[in-house]
Amino acid sequence: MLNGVLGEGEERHIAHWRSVKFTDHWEEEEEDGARILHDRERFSHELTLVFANADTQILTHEKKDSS
Amino acid sequence: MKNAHFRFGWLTYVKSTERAVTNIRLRLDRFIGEVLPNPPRQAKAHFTSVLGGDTQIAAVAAAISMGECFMVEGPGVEPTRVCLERNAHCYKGSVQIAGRKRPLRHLIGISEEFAGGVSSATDRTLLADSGALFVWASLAESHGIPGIPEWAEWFLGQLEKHKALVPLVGIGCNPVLVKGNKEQFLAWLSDGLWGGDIHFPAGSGPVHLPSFELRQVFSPAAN
Repeated sequence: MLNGVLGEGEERHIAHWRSVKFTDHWEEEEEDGARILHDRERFSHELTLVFANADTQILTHEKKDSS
Repeated sequence: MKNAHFRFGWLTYVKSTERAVTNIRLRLDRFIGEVLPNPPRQAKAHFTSVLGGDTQIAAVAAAISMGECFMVEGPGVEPTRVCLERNAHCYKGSVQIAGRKRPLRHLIGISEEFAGGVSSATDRTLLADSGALFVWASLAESHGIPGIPEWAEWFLGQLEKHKALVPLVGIGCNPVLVKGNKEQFLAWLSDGLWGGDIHFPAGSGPVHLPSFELRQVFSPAAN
């Protein structure tokens, strides 16, 4: 993975990769009323971009933010 | 560089029981603390580095693990009551001094927050140095912010402009607390690029932000 300056014209950007820990949390309710809480932790990549036109983006496997 | 006795401070630990009072006073060569607003002259310690004998170091290590408080003073630091609080990390070592039969013992105590790095829940980043390049490289690395080394001075100016840089109490270093999160920092970068305050490099290729060794951050010459 390359951290650096890439692209041409409007696509010109600086990229920065990092590993991020994500935690999924969900709950299950049993028939007897007991609640089971689940937490699953995993690592994934996050790519942050700053474009020459001043746009920024944070890209992960599960969401896409843009400003 | 000043002699050690001008640079070092003191860490004092007093333990009172029904039968005896134990008073231990150790040389403090590095300290990072965050002064609490209330009550005055009290601080949350984030980093302590002390030197002393076997028994003294063992006693202070035990006190740290029990979350007890100490008094700290030093050059430019008034006597302040400090505590590393819960889940502090301790690291012990030995320093062999020429002409001494026994080595000096060295103890480093680090608060849970400082050891854990960036706290996303509180948007706080504790840094051991306040230099522009160190602050920029540290934030870029810990938050994953794209940028080039040439933006360091500008970014430090943005932190000061937004009152996001809080000086901490330091002995042997110049620590700061940075308040803010990744989204804020990216918004400042976006504004800087849009306003022409910072510019993209002319060429393409990898960007290498500098890495710093402990000896650079804690260098006596830097103070």
